[in-house]
Amino acid sequence: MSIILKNIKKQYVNSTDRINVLDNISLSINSGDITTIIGHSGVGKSTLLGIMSGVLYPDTGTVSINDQLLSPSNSALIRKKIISVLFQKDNLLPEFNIKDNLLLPLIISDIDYSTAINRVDEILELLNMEKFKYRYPYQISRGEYQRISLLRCMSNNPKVIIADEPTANLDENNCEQLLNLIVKLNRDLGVTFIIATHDNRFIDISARAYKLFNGDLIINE
Amino acid sequence: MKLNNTKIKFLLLLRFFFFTNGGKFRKTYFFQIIGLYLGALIISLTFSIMGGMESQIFDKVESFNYKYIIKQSLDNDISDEFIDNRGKKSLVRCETKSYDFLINVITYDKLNDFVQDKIREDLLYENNLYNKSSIIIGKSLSAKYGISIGDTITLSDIANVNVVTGNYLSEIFIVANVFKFQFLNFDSENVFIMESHASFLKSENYNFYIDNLQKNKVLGHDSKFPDFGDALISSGSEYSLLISSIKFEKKLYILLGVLTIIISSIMIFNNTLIVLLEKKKQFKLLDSLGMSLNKMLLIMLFCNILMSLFLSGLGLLTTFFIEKLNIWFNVIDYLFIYSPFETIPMNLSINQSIMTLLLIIILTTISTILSINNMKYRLEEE
Repeated sequence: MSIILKNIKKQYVNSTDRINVLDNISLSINSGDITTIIGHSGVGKSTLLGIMSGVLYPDTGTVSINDQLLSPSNSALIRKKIISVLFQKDNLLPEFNIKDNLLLPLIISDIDYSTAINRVDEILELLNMEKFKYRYPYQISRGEYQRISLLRCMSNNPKVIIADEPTANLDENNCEQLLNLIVKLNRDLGVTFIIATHDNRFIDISARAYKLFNGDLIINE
Repeated sequence: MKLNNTKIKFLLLLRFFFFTNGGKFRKTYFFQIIGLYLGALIISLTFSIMGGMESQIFDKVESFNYKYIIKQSLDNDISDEFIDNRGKKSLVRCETKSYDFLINVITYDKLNDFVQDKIREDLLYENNLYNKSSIIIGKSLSAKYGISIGDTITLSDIANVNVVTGNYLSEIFIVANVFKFQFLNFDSENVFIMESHASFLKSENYNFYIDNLQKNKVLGHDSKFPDFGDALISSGSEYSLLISSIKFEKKLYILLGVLTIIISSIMIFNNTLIVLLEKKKQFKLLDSLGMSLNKMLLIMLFCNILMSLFLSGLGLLTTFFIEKLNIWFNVIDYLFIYSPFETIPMNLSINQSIMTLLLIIILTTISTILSINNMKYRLEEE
């Protein structure tokens, strides 16, 4: 599942300035890799991830996933079937309990209800989190919230998980647990991870790491 | 399998829109729920009661009165085949054993036809035989003066007094039946007799009664029915003011119901906008899962329409239930103590039900679309 970005440009315009957030960026991500994009806050990491997941569109340039060009017409379908997105926060619907939160992506992907229920049980068993099944997001800790969010991303077997600052607001211990979970999922299930972070620990587990600076993407040595 | 999944998806989204954090039902929905239900109930009840009353009064007035043409004498140029009945109306003195009072006498040359065609349903006794001495009186008159079937009463034409002798003509009648029409004192002020036994009554005007019954018979024979124009006085025209006032009252009540629904629609607008703005983050998440914002907004619109449909349906069902309760236990009669009906007529038609449903759905759709547009506008502003 390769992702190729070609000549991506993105500009934000405010009342006084034009800001080139992404300036002619090209990038190729191999299947099964963990790729980290580091950079300071506001440098454009989230914009780059948004473009990769098809939530945002570049001013110029193309994104292709497995030789399929990402466009407004197919981006929703690609997010249903191939790509899953993990945000820094607000990854679970507060109206639903954990079971329904894990069920939702499966139902949106048109997976049969009984299969989806079994899948939810499997996912919760994977991390011994069955006891959280009927709890609501406000009833669990931040670390548990983020781990379950990662499981929610995993529920419909995506090929790629795009994570935007997944460990922000987490303490050391929870950060470590989430990191280990990402490694485990990558190693055992071959899921490709693209992670935007300013946490340098992700560099150690990545096949490649890039630094986003002044609109340019450079390999982090 | 597909349908099942669609159902689950819909139920999940329904919970998403109607529930708040922690899976609790959003309380602000209660106001619009109550408003929509009450609006539908007020409109349908008004249609049912006022419409029922209006049609019942109209039907009664129609049944007790012919359309008629006034002529100076019974000899005239109108062919018999076009006339249902003929007679006159006079104010006379009425004497019983114990009482003496004034009353309107309405005469018909074909009293049997009048009874059979017009008022048969409203007679208290089954009597097919009426002769020259027969008189049909009203139930209220019967109760007021203690006159019952078989009693004798004397009618006198006091407007036709011999100025020299001071005498006036009289005839004796036997009560042959009693009708009920407790409406604007009709059955305490009017009696019916045969024209052939009303020669003691002098009248300057004669009425030629022309009704649809004869008209239908004539038209059935391909004859051309004459157009009497303005000369034909509509039946019960003296009640037109009352019927107009009932119609006006009905409009007022319906306006009240429509106002309730409009207020509910404003609540729907506010509530939908609040829900949409509160769930902006969740929309972002759902978008990342492959469910586009437009699709969710469409589902929100569908949810609101479904809710309105359900609540207005519930309002209509309540009206139908009240109609049944009224038939079984006369519940509505307690609200109308001086009603002229034994049971308040209630009649909600299919057309009125559809009209109520459509009104609510249209207003809900407009208010939801406005709130969705408002939300989109705010998102674009951001």
